[in-house]
Amino acid sequence: MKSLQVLPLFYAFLFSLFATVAVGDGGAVVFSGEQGTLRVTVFIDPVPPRVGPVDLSVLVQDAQSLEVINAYKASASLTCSADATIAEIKRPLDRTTATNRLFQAVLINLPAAGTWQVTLEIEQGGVDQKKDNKSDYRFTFPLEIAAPQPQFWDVLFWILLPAIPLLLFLAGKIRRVVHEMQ
Amino acid sequence: MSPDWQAFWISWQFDFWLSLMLLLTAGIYTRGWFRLRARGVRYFGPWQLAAMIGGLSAIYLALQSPLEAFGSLLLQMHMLQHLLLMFIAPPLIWLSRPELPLLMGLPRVLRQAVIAPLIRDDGVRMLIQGLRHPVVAWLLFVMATWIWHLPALYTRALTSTFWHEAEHATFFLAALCFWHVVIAPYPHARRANRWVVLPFLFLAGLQGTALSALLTFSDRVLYAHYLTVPRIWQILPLDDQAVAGALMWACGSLVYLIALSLVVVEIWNAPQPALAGALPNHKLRLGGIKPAKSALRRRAEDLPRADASPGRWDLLNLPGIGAVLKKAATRRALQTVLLFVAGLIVLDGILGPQISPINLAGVLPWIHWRGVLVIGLLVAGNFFCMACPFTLPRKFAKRLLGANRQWPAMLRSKWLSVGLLAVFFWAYEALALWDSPWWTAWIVVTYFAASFAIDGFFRGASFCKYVCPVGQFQFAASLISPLQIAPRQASVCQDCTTHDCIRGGPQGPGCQMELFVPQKTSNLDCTFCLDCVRSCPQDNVGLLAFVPTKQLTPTTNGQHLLKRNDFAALLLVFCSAAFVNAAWMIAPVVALEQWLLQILSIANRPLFVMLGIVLTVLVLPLLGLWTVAYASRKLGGQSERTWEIARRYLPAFVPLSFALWCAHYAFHLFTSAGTILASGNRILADWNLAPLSEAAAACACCGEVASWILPLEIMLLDGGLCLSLFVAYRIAERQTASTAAALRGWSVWAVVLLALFAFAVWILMQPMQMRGTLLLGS
Repeated sequence: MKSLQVLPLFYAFLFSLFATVAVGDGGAVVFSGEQGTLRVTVFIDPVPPRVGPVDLSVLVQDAQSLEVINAYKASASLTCSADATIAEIKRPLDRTTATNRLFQAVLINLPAAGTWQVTLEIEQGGVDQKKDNKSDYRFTFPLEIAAPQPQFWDVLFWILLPAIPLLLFLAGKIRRVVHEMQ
Repeated sequence: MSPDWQAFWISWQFDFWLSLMLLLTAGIYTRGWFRLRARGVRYFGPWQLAAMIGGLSAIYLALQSPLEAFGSLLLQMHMLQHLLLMFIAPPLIWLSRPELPLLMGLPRVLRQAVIAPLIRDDGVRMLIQGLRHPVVAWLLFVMATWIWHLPALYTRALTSTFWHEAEHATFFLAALCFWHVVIAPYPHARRANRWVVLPFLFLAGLQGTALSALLTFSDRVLYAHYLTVPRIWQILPLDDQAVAGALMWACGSLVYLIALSLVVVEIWNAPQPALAGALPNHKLRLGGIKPAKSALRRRAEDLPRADASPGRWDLLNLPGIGAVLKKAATRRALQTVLLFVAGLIVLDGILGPQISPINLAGVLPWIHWRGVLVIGLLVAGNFFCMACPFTLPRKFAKRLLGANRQWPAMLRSKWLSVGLLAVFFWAYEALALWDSPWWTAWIVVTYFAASFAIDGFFRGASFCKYVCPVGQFQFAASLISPLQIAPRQASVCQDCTTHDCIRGGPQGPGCQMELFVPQKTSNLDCTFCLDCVRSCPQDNVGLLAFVPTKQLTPTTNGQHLLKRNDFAALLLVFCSAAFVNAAWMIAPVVALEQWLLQILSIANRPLFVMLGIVLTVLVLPLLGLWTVAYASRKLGGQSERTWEIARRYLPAFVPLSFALWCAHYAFHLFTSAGTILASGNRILADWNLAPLSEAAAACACCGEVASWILPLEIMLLDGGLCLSLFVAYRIAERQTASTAAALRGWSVWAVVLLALFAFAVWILMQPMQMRGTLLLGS
């Protein structure tokens, strides 16, 4: 019987592996705005966004009916307000890289902390031009980028991993000591 | 279908590792299921297999389906995810009676090396018993449900990947504990009164209803996140919340109700349990199946038995590989290839450009060979000695010079080779060997000359056993390798009178290292030449798998070995050099060296490095070891001399040190493997066979470090630390009369090992690129 009691631990280990690879769900909304017939919502992950890879996802909807609009081309430009020497980063958004296919997304590597200006350009494809004469939409909003976390935090889980078997081991031995003393 | 729904249905994700782990679990279970069925065990029918596949599919659905992608937009999607993880996957997994099939599906080595030590551990047993207790399981389940539904935590989980994963892990693990109590899957005997399960389920249903009602009837949106996200499909946040609550209510209640009904039926029909647990013994006997308890006892007896060789996994029994390895021609072929490579290294090192990243002498020994060597030692054993390129010239020397002298008695120890190993570490730092193809080439030439001269004059493998510093490194490292040359059946060796494995016989020469297989207790001095395997007329020598710490623990290791000072010196240098060699690569230590050179006005760097090596590899570790041994002696109440205690505990440092060697060398291999392309291209360009490729040269040996490398390095250290702590405890346990005294004696060593672990982690977190090496053109 004892030999089998260890299996739940096996599951725990297995699920911890699952958990570490489970994909996140888009982070938090950092911008939401309307222009003409469009309503745009921007998600950022991680929360708060830090120096390094940042996932930027965009959902475009009809401002009135809130129907999701799929036919459009979008690109994001980011400029660092604090440091003019950093070149503008411009990337097209793509539906295939988005976790949720209602969105378009892009992974951007941000090199510095501080306030960044994000400009989102949306080219019409399926947007009804008769309702609005504008062919392009441009949304601008600031984005605060935090300093990167110390590398230590990224690997803390791995560093602390031996604590689990060590504590289990100690608990067993202490129990045995108590038993011996009795 | 509307574009929105199309988008929904294609929002599946594919995560390689998750898919791999699920497939692996399914594969292990299915293998075990088939093996048990083949043995006539009929507890595992198609329904159990289907339940396991269903449980794993539910996990996949929860984490990889569009539910995951839409969970941040709609609470009802997120709720479905949680229902799958708490009410569908865990019960299905337990209904599949997974323990025995998963155990049987695992390779025997894994069962012996990982599961068996865990089984024996009191702490693990206590933890599992605790988690299976109905009160604990119920509280865990309820607390996980309520705590994660607090608005602050729920919102946190929605915006942070880490907390989202933590939420799912908590739900799943708590649900596993909960449903284990309800289902009590075979072969767990249902000792507890089954009546307990009724209030257990009823109260869980009650609290679930309360939470569901809160969500369904609330007049405000509880989770602010859903107010900020865009509304899709015209669903208002409050309606979404009400639907989520209703889903929780309906699904949860349904599952509780089914479980309750089945338990009631089971109690009604007692003593014949009907849900999914163990069948009564008389049924088992009628079915011609052995009772569960005896089946378990049999498995338990199989697992922890460490000393019985019969039935051990044997590499030489592997179809194809075993036969190839056994052939002498294989060894000669490997040696010939490495001899050719060594020749190229020497030629390129002396004649080629003195730019390390594009010279074979700067790349192959210091990046590729070392990395492959430690990985080979970690996963198998000392296979480099088997393929050693110096062996062929040594054989030639024996024929040429006769090799008829005995190695001097005064040098029959490890002292000379340990000294040479220390000199090698000094040369590595003082001459910056990684950055000097010329020195590297001449060291290889010197090696050839020394092995040629020594084995030309002296009998046996004197060079390997008493001189070769690289060999000593490998002997020390292979003390925790999983494979070991050992007799397959001890009784066959007891009846043997010819002892061909050491003396040689008609089938081939015996062991040149003078190791007698039946008395061999470790990999020390074993070069994996397999001469003993070939010479044994009974075919009784194998390359068997053992628990990695077996060679280091006092129960099996020869006592004479632990009393040898030269062996202790080898371990000391091996362990301390692991830290010194890795630390000397990183910027803070290099800066410290520069500062000391400046402050002390030392112009002679090789002399300074020599002092540094003597101090850090020998003197300080020795002093530290003595101090810790003294403290351990006092705390553990031991009567032995301090040095004897220090010597006995030294093997405990080997796993952690070897882990650092592995992490260090694997880092260079994984970050700089591409240098072989640059150097290969450069050689072809030298011979006008190809143009010099800037792209190949630019890869050099200081490329970008992949994000997975540091976690991998730390995982290696984690493993090393755990094994070191375990070995230290086994040593302490052996020396003391009580567990309390053993723990006191062990505690000092544990603190030191933890400090060394922290130091090693710090080293690995510094940039570790091969300093001194330059990109082409830089």
